[in-house]
Amino acid sequence: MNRVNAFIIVSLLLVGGCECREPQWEATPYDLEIPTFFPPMDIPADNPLTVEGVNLGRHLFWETALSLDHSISCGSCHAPDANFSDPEQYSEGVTGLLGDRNASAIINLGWSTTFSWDGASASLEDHIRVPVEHPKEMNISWEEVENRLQYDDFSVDYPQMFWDAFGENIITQDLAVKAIAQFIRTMISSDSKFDKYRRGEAVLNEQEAMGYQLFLREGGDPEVTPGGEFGADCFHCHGEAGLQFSDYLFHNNGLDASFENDPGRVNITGWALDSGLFKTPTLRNVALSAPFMHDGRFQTLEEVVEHYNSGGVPSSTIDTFMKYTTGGLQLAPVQKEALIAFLHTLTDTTYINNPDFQDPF
Amino acid sequence: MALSSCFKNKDAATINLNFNLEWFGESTAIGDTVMYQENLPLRLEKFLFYIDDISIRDENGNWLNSGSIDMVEFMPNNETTSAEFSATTVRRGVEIDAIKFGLGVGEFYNGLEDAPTHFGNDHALGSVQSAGMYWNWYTGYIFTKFEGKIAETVDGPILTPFSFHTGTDDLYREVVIELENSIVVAAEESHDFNVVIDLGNSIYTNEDQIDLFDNCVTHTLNNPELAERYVNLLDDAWTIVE
Repeated sequence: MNRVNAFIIVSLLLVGGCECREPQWEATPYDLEIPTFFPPMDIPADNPLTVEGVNLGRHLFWETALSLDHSISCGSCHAPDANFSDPEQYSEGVTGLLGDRNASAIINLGWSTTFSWDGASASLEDHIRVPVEHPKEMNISWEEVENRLQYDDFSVDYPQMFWDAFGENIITQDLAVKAIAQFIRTMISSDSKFDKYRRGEAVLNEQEAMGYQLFLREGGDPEVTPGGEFGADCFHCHGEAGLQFSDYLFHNNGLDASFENDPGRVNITGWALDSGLFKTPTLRNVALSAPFMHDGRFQTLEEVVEHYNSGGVPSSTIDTFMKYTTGGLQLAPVQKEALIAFLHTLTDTTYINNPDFQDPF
Repeated sequence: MALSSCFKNKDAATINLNFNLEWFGESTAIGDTVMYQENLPLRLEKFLFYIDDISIRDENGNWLNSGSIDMVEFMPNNETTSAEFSATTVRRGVEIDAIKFGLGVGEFYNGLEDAPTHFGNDHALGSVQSAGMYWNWYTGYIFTKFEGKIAETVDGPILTPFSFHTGTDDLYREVVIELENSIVVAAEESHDFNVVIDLGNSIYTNEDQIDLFDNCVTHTLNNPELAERYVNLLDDAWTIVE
């Protein structure tokens, strides 16, 4: 081989090498708009939001292949009309078994610091893993989900979508979970009447304003309860700070005297003080989120308000904020109606109707 | 947690504060049942506080301020210590004869509108870390929380709650603890101080006695007299075990 031929061969090898290279991958950063007065959102460094990731997450959220018999998706138990929660007390899984707790609303979860009613999951990503394999929910192994998404025929090209989102050809549980988490972090509600009121774009009517003041005031008759202000005492746990109307902490709000049916938070921490404690849910879109409480025992806001008005049931771990178990808040009917009117100002129908969150199939 | 200071050099040393919970001189923990008044069972359920601007006083009487702020929370079943962090970084060889820290959030930060939104989520004053410790329409930050329940009889169920939530600039307190013997932070890189907070003394001393049945709730503005009594007792309830 002379030098010229050798040069040509080497050149061809180099050119060939270029042709065999992996295609360049680059996802488009997702421009997440943080609403006025909201705190920053914590987004894991290893799961930044991208347009492609969010799109994939939306499809996976609504993908029934994530359930054993292809019958349900995440959206089946987190229905848009119900504030992305389940209007049924307990959700029915693929085997017909009912879950143990009410499926909570998905709304502004990007700001939540705790996940599931007892805080079992440390992160949104961890929380998303659970329903897929849960025998009372989707009841399928993640390995099988990976295989389906990789090899089965769908109306969309999942391998390509995973590549677009993550630059990975092999579909994995971790990537699927990350995509769904990205999608859920974009599910932001900030256009309720109360939001507009905070931004100076709307005015609360007299009844709503009265309800707001009740929401913010200590409960109880000061003659009976030291410090009482005849209020509804909501603000301790459903604090307005951060505008999520939840402290995302765990409380025993006086539902039961004992907790054999569902011990709640103690199952996670092992601390006796946590018996009967459950996560404070957000009140955003609460008027659309029935039923209420971890076990969905209350069907209406009137029942919820009446529970607090009556004071609840004393127990060894009842929250000190539930200090009116003898006598309750003693709100007058007109006050209860005002409180509920205020809660309705937290309704944001643009959120539940947002086309970006609906079933894409 | 190491906090920044002006003394980042090879002679620097670090001061750590370890907090210990007691009830009238006995080590205790959140979740423990202790005795109140005539042997009435009292369960300690929550105690947390903002600790602001930890400072040390040197041999010349100068306060060296850390400018730090953090939240200290005693967790269940931690019998003696639940918080340990670097208070400040000081020159090696400095002689320390007192420690000072603020109980609460200083006026500037406490007065910010929607204060938590001004801080990142990993900051003690941010929305995440201050969950349950900020009421923007009310008192700003809650400086301290002490909650529990008492039995009304010796053998009765522990059901009667009490809760002291303090806030407002007026109730910001500076705790100053004089050391019996000054400490020279010299040869070592750090020095640990064991700080004791006696919750019994935060409600009952020779100076004042708070009856938890008659005075069970204050969120400061709804019962400012009780909040002030409690904070004044709490201010004096700290000691250092040397």
